[in-house]
Amino acid sequence: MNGKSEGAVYRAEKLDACIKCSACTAECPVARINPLFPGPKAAGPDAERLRLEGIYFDAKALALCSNCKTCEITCPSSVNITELIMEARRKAILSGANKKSKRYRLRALVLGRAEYLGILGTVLAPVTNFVLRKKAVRVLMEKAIGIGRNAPLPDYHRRFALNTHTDAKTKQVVYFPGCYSAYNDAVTARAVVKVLEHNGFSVLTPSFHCCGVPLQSNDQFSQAEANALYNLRLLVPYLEQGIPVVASCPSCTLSLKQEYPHYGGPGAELIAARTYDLFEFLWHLYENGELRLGFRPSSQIVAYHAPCHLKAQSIGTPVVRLLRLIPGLQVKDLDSGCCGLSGSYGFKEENYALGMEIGKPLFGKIKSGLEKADFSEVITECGTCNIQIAHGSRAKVQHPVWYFMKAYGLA
Amino acid sequence: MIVWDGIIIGGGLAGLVAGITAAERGKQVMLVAEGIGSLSFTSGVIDFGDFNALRDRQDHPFSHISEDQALQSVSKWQELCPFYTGSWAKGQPILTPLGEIRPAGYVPYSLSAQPLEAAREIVLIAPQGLKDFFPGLFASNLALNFPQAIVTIKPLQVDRFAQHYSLGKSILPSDYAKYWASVEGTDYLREFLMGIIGELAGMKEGLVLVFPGLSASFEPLLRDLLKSLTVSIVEPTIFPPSPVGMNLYQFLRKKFKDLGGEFLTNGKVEAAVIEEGYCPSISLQSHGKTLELKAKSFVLATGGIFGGGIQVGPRTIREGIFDCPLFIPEQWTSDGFLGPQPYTQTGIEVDAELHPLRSDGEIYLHNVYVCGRMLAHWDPWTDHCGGGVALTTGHRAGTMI
Ligand SMILES: Cc1cc2nc3c(=O)[nH]c(=O)nc-3n(C[C@H](O)[C@H](O)[C@H](O)COP(=O)(O)OP(=O)(O)OC[C@H]3O[C@@H](n4cnc5c(N)ncnc54)[C@H](O)[C@@H]3O)c2cc1C
Ligand code: SF4
Ligand code: SF4
Repeated sequence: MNGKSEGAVYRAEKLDACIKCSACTAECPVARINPLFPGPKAAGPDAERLRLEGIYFDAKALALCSNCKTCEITCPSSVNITELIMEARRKAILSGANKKSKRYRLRALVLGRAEYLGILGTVLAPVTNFVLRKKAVRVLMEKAIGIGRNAPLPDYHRRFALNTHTDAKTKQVVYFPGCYSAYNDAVTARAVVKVLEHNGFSVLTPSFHCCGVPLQSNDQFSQAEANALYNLRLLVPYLEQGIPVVASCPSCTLSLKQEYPHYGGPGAELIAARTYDLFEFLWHLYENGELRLGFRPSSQIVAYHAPCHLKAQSIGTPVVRLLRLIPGLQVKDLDSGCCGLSGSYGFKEENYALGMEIGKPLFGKIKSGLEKADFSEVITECGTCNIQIAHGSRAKVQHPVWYFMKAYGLA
Repeated sequence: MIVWDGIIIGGGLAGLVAGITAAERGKQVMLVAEGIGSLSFTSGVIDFGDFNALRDRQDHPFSHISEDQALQSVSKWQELCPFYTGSWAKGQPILTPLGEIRPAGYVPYSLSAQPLEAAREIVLIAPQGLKDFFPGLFASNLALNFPQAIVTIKPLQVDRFAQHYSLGKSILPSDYAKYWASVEGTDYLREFLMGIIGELAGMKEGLVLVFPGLSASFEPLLRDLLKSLTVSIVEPTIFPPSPVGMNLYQFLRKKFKDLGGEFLTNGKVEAAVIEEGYCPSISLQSHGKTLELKAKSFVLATGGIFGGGIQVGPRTIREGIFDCPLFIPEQWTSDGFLGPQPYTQTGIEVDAELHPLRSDGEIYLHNVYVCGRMLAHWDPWTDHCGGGVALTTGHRAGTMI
């Protein structure tokens, strides 16, 4: 990250803001389960004091953080806890202080590149068998391969990647589908495009690389930065024309809004202000009287899981507001914490059981809600939350955009 | 842009109560909170101090609340949280984190130490490695305070935390509490408690268990378990972060959402537009964008100096959002660490409807209501009424939206 000297002042200020209440650690889903993780307070602001003095923590302990941001949402003093942890990890990795075994590096390489997951099954199978032994991954793989069969990748690229011409007559928006939508759930990506088109937008989808979140989580910091710079380069012409960027995955959105501005380079100073969560964007249209309404009524009751990375965006839950515009549709916020997957965290061999344990309260809530017919379906914006919830609770989980497809009569 | 009926700033006890009250009245409300409020410190205890005496004190927040209104807030509260116990103007004993007794107002029923008064045998459960819990000291305080009873310590270990034990790592009360609330945890606890009851079968009448870090009042599984046992269990309050306080926070947040309220997390409100004594909108920074939120009225529940609503700098002291005029005592501190401290009186002066006032006594903002720790002229430490002020003024503010 850039801006080191002012960064030091900023960090020190944030450190002073910490009132040592430990509320972050009490809420951290990983610290609750894993005694080897010191928790956000100790790994973040407490250890940062030592780091400012040149004393470093064991980076392995820091790597246990799933970067779910629950701690930051809880902190009453806006301490940038995860930034402190990630930065310390980045330094440790880049300085080679934490040399890893080859196997571990290969795994990080694979999991960190969600882009490659679509072709993982064939090309990299031997390397990743130990990962694939886990059911959650198999669910993902099945999905990946299944969707690959029905909507093969080249098709997908033709549909999205080449749509880069600008037609100044219509309203334009750039869509950042994210790896999950692009490779695992292309039909949902198409649904997003349809809903945007239905609202009069022509949708541009340059050939983006992965946003970088999974790379960061797998300690591939330089590659994450390279991806960000690549994507920024693709985005610059649109950003300069003031065309908004919309993402349908909260982790991608958060990284575009929160991480990209730090990388510098062209577009970095524009990206945060121009990037919208899909429903944040649709809500803006609604507020400006530009959203097409005329929704078909629905009699469903759906349970909503707010992804951690959405909660960190300081925008509330626009999807709930929008769903309530559909006559008859009822939305219940599950409010049961983190699903336990957090990007690719729960896919890792050593984290699988942890992830499942973290998600237990959420799964329990969903199972009992379905049994009692409190609701009939579960929705969440995040693709990986989706997989984990379906895996942990056996519920049918959908991206909320499908409710708008139905309400618009498009599905 | 849509105009909300009300926007509440602050997610502590005052803000949550205001939000729930307004949402119950069918108002379209949003609550914006930077983070968890001071509930994580409080073990869910809601004190009123000596309400009538405080009411008589000029400018004390209670001076704006009639006894009827206070009683109404309390009965609303007990409707909302049926697992609270207490009676008006009559304290009940609770246990401090060190095993002392102190009087308290309304508490989750498992915190009431009343059963100890008739105890003949007290068993102090000592979960291994529980953070900031000192069984020996606690037990000796219990023995001093309840001389009629025999006090014994019963250690408790759980497989789930075996790794913590072997690493010598302490366990947060909230981690134990979350485990007890799970299916496995409750099953484990059932066996453990039945075991103790079996061992002390002859003592059934006067047997009371003291169990730190349980937080049973909020968890249906634990509530059922305790109901099925024939023995009383008392939970002491605990050093922060308190699992009971955290549970109360989550419980109220969920209630608010279930009533249709929207909870905006991680949102620090930074500014307000002010036009001729009214505020049409507030704004916060949301990753490079300014999020402007419009509402007919606003509730300011940002927790005073401690909660971040009043910022104290080397030379300045101000309320950060509306720039409300503040009452600031001339002398900031006084001798005696535990005595009354003048700075605690810092806050916003209000009229009977909780509008912030200018220094000339006129209303500063007609559609803003101030509640909880943001109010001037009280000291939660010496008046012992922190929760009571937050509850009654939060409730009041919620009815003004
Ligand atoms: C250590 C401690 C122990 C206590 N013990 C007891 C007790 O035993 N009995 C009792 O009755 N009372 C007790 N209290 C007092 C009582 O709990 C408080 O008076 C009461 O909770 C205050 O509530 P509040 O909602 O006004 O503020 P807080 O709980 O402080 O909440 C403030 C909220 O505002 C948010 N906020 C601040 N600035 C902004 C901003 N700019 N934008 C958005 N959000 C913002 C914060 O994140 C927080 O959510 C205790 C308090 C403390 C601190
Ligand atoms: S980001 Fe999540 S896992 Fe990491 S410290 Fe914060 S709460 Fe814990
Ligand atoms: S929640 Fe925030 S203020 Fe409290 S200990 Fe954690 S970082 Fe510090």
